Amino acid sequence: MTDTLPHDPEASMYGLVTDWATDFDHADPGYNRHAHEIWTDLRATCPVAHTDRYGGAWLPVTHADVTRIAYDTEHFTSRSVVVSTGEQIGEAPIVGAPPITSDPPFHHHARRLLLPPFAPKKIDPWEDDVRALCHRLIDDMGDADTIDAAVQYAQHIPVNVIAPCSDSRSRTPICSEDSCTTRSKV
Amino acid sequence: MRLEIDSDKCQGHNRCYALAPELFDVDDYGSAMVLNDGIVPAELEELEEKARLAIANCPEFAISVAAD
Repeated sequence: MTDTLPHDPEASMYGLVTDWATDFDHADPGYNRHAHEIWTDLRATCPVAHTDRYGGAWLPVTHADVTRIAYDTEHFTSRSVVVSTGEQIGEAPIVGAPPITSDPPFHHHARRLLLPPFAPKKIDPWEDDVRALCHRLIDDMGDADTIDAAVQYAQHIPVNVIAPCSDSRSRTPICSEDSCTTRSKV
Repeated sequence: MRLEIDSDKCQGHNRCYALAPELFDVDDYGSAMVLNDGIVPAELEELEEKARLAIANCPEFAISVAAD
């Protein structure tokens, strides 16, 4: 059941959700605000919810089901990983963004290509800069009584750590220039 | 206790090396390997605990305790 309220500026293009078991929508404003309550309710009533929105999607909400699905690459594919209006299942094995969008055995090969520049000993030299970034983000919070840890802290770290593939001070590429565009540090 | 890594299963998440660098090493390609032939000295309880933590944290279930 969809309670269509097109005038609601926050609602997704499909309208507001009234039944999370049969019509869930991760873009619904109520989902972000009450996700934990929604999952708790679904675990008791409908542990694998479904929606026809976005071309159809399933929502397993128990740890056991999520784990089983994640490891059962025989029956569940990674070729379509984003629930959106534009997402279509890609053609194996490469698809759009390997290894995330790849199934075994190609997944293994895609990971192997990506791993060397990010192996632990390769990124050890980043530690001081990463710590400095984290300290700076915390310092920037000042004396505020309340902060948003996601907005003011966590979301800055992946972008600033993973995206820059070179150190602008030394201009030493961390990845080879063949595989990674040299970028300035954010 | 003796640890083993199934190199076919290892996908280079390197959780083992992060949790127990005394027991595991990684090569330049991110593949994990056991140190000291995988032997975890029984007298070092802390290392046994780290070994179990590494086993439990491997996303690929690639680490196991050898049967011998």
